[in-house]
Amino acid sequence: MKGFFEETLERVGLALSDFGEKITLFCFCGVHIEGHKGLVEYSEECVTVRVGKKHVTVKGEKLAVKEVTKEELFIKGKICGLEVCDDK
Amino acid sequence: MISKAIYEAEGTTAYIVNIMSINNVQIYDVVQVSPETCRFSVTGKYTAAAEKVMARYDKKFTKIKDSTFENFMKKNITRFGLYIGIILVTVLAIAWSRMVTEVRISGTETVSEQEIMKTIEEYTDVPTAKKDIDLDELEKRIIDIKGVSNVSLEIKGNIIFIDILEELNPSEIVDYNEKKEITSKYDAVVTKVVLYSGTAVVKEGDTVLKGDLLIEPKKVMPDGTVTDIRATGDVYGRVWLSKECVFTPTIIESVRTGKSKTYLIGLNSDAEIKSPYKNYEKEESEIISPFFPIKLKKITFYETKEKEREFDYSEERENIIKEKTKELESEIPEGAEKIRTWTSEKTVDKNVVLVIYYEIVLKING
Repeated sequence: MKGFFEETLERVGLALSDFGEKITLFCFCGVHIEGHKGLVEYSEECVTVRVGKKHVTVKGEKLAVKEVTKEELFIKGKICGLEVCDDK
Repeated sequence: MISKAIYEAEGTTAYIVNIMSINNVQIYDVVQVSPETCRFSVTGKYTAAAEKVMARYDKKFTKIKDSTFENFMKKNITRFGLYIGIILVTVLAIAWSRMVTEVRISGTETVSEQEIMKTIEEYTDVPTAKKDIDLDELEKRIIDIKGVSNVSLEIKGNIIFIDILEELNPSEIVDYNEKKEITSKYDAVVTKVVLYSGTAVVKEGDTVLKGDLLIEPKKVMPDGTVTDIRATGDVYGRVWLSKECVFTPTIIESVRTGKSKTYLIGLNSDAEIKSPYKNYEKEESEIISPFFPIKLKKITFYETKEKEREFDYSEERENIIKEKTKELESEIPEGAEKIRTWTSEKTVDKNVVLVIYYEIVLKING
């Protein structure tokens, strides 16, 4: 039985294998990143994470890295913005 | 709640996060404490791995706090004896609270406590578990004992309280037509005769011996005929009690040598402890065990030996007379009137013969 996410991807014509990385925003107070490749920069106002071939910058206030594993990373704080740019 | 260990390590947040995640070490709550120091937490599972990673990357670190289960076990592994002791005491206390260990009997005057205890022992051993005692069944068995009218049983704590209500003594039924005489129980001089029925054969001033007839079971009717009846009445007389003691110039007494041996047994134990000494004195007492809250019986045997010593009667005369007079007084029957007491002493071949006399007046027909 397919889950909601898989079914949604199928309807919009996308494959699950294209999505090794996933970024989930929780009520603008937490960001969960799956498939990260490490932290580039950290401060309480700005956290930059390498995700795949891109850099994801999380902007906000009182940002803290709550949990880190090899594949997942959770940032907690007041999220004001998410920026994606190419890996330099 | 998962307990963690907190570290402070050299490096930036990004650097620490990256080296840990590359090496598959899960970390939590990463905080930049200062520009060169970062603080993070790991669970007990990852403490060794985290320290290894930091050592490999030559990063100095300090363990701020370790409240992981693994650390707790490491610290307390040598205290297992203490924990086992605590568990053992707790288990024993719980087991103890579920047992009956003592029986207390009250209300017995004519019925003997030994008889009641024997009935209890036939039903169950003491100490025993509370659940093994059926109070109704025990009550029935105790009521079956001769002399017991009713019984109340209650278990409070570890003690079973037994309150006995005894049967009343049956009233004496006297058949006044039954021919029965009254005789003397003492050698006495009659002082008073109280006659209810029958014919008195003694009067005031008469000397009677033990067994002599005092009141005859006969009545002389007005017409001269003699009828057999039951003699009733009281005859009082003066009686003399005496006690003779001989004191030699030397006496043999038992003195303790200083050697002793003590045994501790359960309070209700029937074990018979034999003395290790040939001549001994025995002392028994109840104590509470210093290790567990149970009562024990303490039996001490003191070795003694016989020792001869000189005895000077004149020095101890007063105490001896006092002591022997008291002994004689204990033999006086209840209800007797004490008139006077005196002593006589004579010396025969260095021995002193002491005789104590007591004159009393009492009912001589018993």
